[in-house]
Amino acid sequence: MPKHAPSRRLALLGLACGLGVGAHAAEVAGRLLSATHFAVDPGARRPLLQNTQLGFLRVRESFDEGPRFEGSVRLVAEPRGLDATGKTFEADFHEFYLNLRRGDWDVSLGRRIRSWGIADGVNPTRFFGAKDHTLLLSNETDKELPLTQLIVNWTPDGGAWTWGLVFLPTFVPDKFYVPPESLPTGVAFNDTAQFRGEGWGGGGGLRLAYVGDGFDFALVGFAGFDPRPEYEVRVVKVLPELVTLYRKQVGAGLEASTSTGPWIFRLEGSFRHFVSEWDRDPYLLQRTEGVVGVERSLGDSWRINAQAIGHHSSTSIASGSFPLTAETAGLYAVVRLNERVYRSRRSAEAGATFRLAYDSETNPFTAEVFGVTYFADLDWLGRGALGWKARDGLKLSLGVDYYSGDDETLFGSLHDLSAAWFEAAFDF
Amino acid sequence: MKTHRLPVLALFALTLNGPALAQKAPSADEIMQKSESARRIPQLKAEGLLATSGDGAPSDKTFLFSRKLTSDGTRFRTLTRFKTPATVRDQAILFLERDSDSSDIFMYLPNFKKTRRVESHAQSGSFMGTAFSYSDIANPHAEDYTHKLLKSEKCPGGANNCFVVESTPRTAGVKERTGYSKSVQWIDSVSYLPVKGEFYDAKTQKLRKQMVSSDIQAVGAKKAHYLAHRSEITDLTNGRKSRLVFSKVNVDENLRDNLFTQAALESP
Repeated sequence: MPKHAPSRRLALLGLACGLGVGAHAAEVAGRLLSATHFAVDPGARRPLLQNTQLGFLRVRESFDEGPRFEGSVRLVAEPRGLDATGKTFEADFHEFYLNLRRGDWDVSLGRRIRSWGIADGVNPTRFFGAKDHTLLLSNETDKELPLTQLIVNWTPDGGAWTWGLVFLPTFVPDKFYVPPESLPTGVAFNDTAQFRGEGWGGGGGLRLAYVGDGFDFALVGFAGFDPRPEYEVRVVKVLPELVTLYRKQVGAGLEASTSTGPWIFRLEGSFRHFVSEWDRDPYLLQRTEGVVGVERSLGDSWRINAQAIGHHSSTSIASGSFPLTAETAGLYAVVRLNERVYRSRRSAEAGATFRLAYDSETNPFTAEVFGVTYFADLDWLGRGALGWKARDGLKLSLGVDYYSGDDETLFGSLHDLSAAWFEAAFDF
Repeated sequence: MKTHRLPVLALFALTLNGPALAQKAPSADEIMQKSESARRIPQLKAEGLLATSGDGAPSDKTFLFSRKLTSDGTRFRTLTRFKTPATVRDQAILFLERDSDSSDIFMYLPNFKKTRRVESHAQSGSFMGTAFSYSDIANPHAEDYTHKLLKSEKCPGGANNCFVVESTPRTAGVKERTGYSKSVQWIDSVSYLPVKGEFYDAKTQKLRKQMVSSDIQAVGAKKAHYLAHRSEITDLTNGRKSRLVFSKVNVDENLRDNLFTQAALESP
């Protein structure tokens, strides 16, 4: 492995000439990742062994202080994936955007990943973006789905305030794993999103951020679709199918952080109101979520992070609000599925996360323990991982993900995803 | 301004070392103020190399370094963006100096595409795993310390005369921020830059780090400021040694103010 990453000039002269700029520099970089998951529970309904090969090839072209182009191609090969479409190989233009910086303005246009939220793992303000939850990878960013978007940031005089505008001309939904036992008897799963044909699928938002002396905060306002689906049974052809609906929402969010001595405090919260375009109430009417966290380092190599989670949901229908009979069994199952996705069986719930991580420049080994639990149902997800930085750019990891809880709870229903895993990631 | 009585031997040494010094020996405070002024480069853009050896595997990191003086004429805003190795590519640190006891530090993590606040306490911690701390690579402010001129002698490894100045933090906050209870620095009488420094641990009071700077050059069109293009630091507690080398130094380019914002941090 060379000490300096490979870099070469690309022949984007046409673009350079068209933009009227001279000197430019190109970078080619990439990431290869191979993940193998072994089901922990031999009786799990998902495949016992799952291999995922992921590849990114990224090109970046920068023109002095002028425009910058960045594009990446992503290849995913998943011989026995969880994706209901049954696709086993996929290649796409992952990110593909142009970035312009002029004076106080920073403008990006194209397909780009922009992660929202500052809390650890649970982000109430992530409603701009979409994730592929069917990819069983340890790095959450690899699961992020790129969105076609226009991002405009304006920082007057390079000062403390930044105004941000996000415009999403199209909608990209989350990808979810639906446990087979969640489907009502005799109902097939239809993963086709049901928002199309109901008007414009885009959205947009404003973000106002302030960096003060020792603290920072951001206010977010958003209108668009919720990337999480709402499930409903419909007779699409002859057989009833479980379909996914994506509801419009208007929402507001808050992010804030401060540091005192060795401690960092973070706050992230959101309020969302859901609206219908299908002449019927959405399942979820309103939702308020909040995360308060504290983090600190322990020496140069250890970090510890703990967060409290709280949320409140108001729904139009609850599984306990009608009798479970043979006639209502299908509806009951679907309502329970929605309750699990939004974790809304109770109107208010509280939970917590914990993370302890070790990463040292002088030691090739890394370690991490992460857990999240909700107190009412005591369902939890735990992750432990050991890593070895074998050489520059190459990291091998061994870990366990374990979902536990009653079948009616979110983490309990995802027990099939519990797995021991091995990952090899190579950045170049 | 405080004045300090020089020991008789030191006065004798000053007399021997140069008539100019003997005629008017600057006070310790004047020396450190001149030192800060000499290093107060309004705008600086450079490529950097951080090479670390000692405990653990050797590692080299290259980065782009941008620093700009704020409108108060004292504090700096610094953006460090790493280029290699691939595992830290695009990782960036935005350092916003505030008052003497605190600063705001933000780190952009490209693997998560997120910016996270780093604890202000981290200024005394390791900078990207090297023997340097955040405060080691920041410009210290003379007013944050009380200074004492210990002696004047020939600079270590150089021909110029050096003032040997002991600096002690004025407040517990500065002590906590830097992690040092005091420092002893050899200040070059020509450039007024430290060519050698000894730093004492805030908790144990023992000598913790030794730093040597070299390749000191006057920079800018007016040659009004100086920059050490090469610094080496050794952490005596663990044997870790790091070398910081600047190249392609540019102090004449007008750096945009919005280069030092979170939005810019997230646009590698």
